[in-house]
Amino acid sequence: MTASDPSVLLQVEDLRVWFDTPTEVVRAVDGMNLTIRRGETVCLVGESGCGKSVTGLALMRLIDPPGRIQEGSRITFEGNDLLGLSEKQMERIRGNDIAMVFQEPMSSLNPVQTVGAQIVEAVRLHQDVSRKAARAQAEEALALVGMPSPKERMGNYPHEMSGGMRQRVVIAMAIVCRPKLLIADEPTTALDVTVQAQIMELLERLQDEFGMSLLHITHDLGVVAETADRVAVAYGGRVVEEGSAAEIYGHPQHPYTEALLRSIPVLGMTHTQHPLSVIRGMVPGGAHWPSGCRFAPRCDYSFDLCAEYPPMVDLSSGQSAACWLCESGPRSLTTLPTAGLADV
Amino acid sequence: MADPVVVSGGVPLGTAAGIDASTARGKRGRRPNNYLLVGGTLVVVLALLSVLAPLLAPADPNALGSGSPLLPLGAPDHLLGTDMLGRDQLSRLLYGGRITLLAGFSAAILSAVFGVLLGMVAGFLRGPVDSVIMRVLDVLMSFPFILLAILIVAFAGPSVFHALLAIAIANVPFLARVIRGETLRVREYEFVVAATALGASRTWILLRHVLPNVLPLVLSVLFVNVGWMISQTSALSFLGLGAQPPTADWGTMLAEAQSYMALNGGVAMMPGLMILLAVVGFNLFGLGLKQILLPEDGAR
Repeated sequence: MTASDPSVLLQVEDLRVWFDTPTEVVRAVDGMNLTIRRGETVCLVGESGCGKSVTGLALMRLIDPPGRIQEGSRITFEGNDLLGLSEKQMERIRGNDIAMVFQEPMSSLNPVQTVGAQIVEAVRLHQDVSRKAARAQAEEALALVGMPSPKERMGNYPHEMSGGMRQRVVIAMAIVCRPKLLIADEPTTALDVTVQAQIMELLERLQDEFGMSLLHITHDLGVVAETADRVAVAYGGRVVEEGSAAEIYGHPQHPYTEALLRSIPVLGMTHTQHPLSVIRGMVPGGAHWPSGCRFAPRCDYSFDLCAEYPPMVDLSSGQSAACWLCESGPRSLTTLPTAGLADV
Repeated sequence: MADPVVVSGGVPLGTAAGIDASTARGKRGRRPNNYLLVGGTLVVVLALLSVLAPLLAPADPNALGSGSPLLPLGAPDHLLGTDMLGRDQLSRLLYGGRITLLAGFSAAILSAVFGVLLGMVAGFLRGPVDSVIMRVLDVLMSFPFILLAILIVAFAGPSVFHALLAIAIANVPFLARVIRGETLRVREYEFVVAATALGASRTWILLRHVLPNVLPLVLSVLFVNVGWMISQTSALSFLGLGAQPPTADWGTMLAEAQSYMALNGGVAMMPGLMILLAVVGFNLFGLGLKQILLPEDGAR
């Protein structure tokens, strides 16, 4: 697939985001490739420290020093090279074409402004409309995100709202300009489980309504199964496996994906049939990646070839994985307890 | 950052930027803040006396010989006595207050404007801009303010305006440091990143998101500073670098009274007392404001 393919909204090629510390260079994102098509939901999953949040920020060019997006990285949005734009041009894209929802609804709203004022601000940053028209749009956005009595809620301060309501406000701010891509960085992590489901439903509904693409960054594989068109599993600052949710859950090819799935408890599983496994060791951290396959030191299957980084191998129907085990075709696995998750 | 705080009503309150009202409402709001009450009363009374001086003053403050020289406190027709030239002390104190309070207040506002501007820019942009601004302010801070005042007065001639200008300039670094620190704290909140992600420019974020969140601190520091600057302008006037005779301000009155203190203690006591009341009043008021606006810092 090439950048000129009109169905491709965003293409990330060889993204490298490094952080300079006084003693070492932390390679938080190091060779990330990702493609998002129009209208699709892509889930970027991985454990803490795999570079998924930094990727999200880099797409918006929100990396502050000491972080740097390295030379040679390419982020193409609708055919435009985002990394070549000026800061002014980037400001026009942020919030208008690409918007972001953050993890912490407690702190992503300004405590001294009413929520109405903050949504109005989001409108007026991009549209030259009257205060009144902006207010109308803001109220409409609040109604869209399922806020009861939006008109009255406009005058509330963030502290007068619950976490779920605040996250709805944050989403309203993000979608009020109808972005083409919404990046949601762990949007439900700080919320109660019941509210989590509501917020996910809301995001899906908004996506259908506006035909926008959604990049959902999460570590919660359960949430992924329900929402994703495609899943990208990140480890060590790169995508190690990519495929549809059914493929990833049914027959994961990369040992890391497999290990992740084996470590989720599923309702009804017993100790004798499916002992819950853990991934040994820890993510080594961006300053100390092993030279070959980054998962090799923690991998049960590692062998001599793993001293060299494996290329991404295309397997059946869009699934691909970066592992030497898959070099000559998909490997077969004993059925995973999570196999049925994606069908729900 | 602290966990969300829940007050008795069960409403979770945001904790960002110290605007968290929970402690203020939960504890301090129920009983009046004593600092604010005492300080506020002093400030309001002093301000009223100054504003209404033309109505309240029994005599022209500069009229010579409206009574015999150096009448004691409580003399008939001259409640607070007269100074060495027979001018009515009460009238001079009332009119002097106008100059002293106005000078202190103007100096505080002036230094706040520049201090907030420089501190916010330095704290928000960080990097080389921050270093340059703060090092220049460090140099300024190493100057004793009296020296700076003498320098300015030497070039521009003594006047209240030049004195307050000197004091305002000398105090910019202190305010800038405090505001820079607060800005460094506020800029780390996720709503600043969120605003950037919505397409807001840096100037916009500074004015719309950072400034309102540092404002509570600015206000409380401002009032503490008014008191501090009243004492400083009075010091300059005392040294003859401020208000020039025959104009009365509390500092010059104190200076003139020096030689006659043994004959009539009242001439020195009253302006000194007024300066004391003003400084204490503004300090308490600023402290009270801080406790209400920044409940987390109140204990310090």
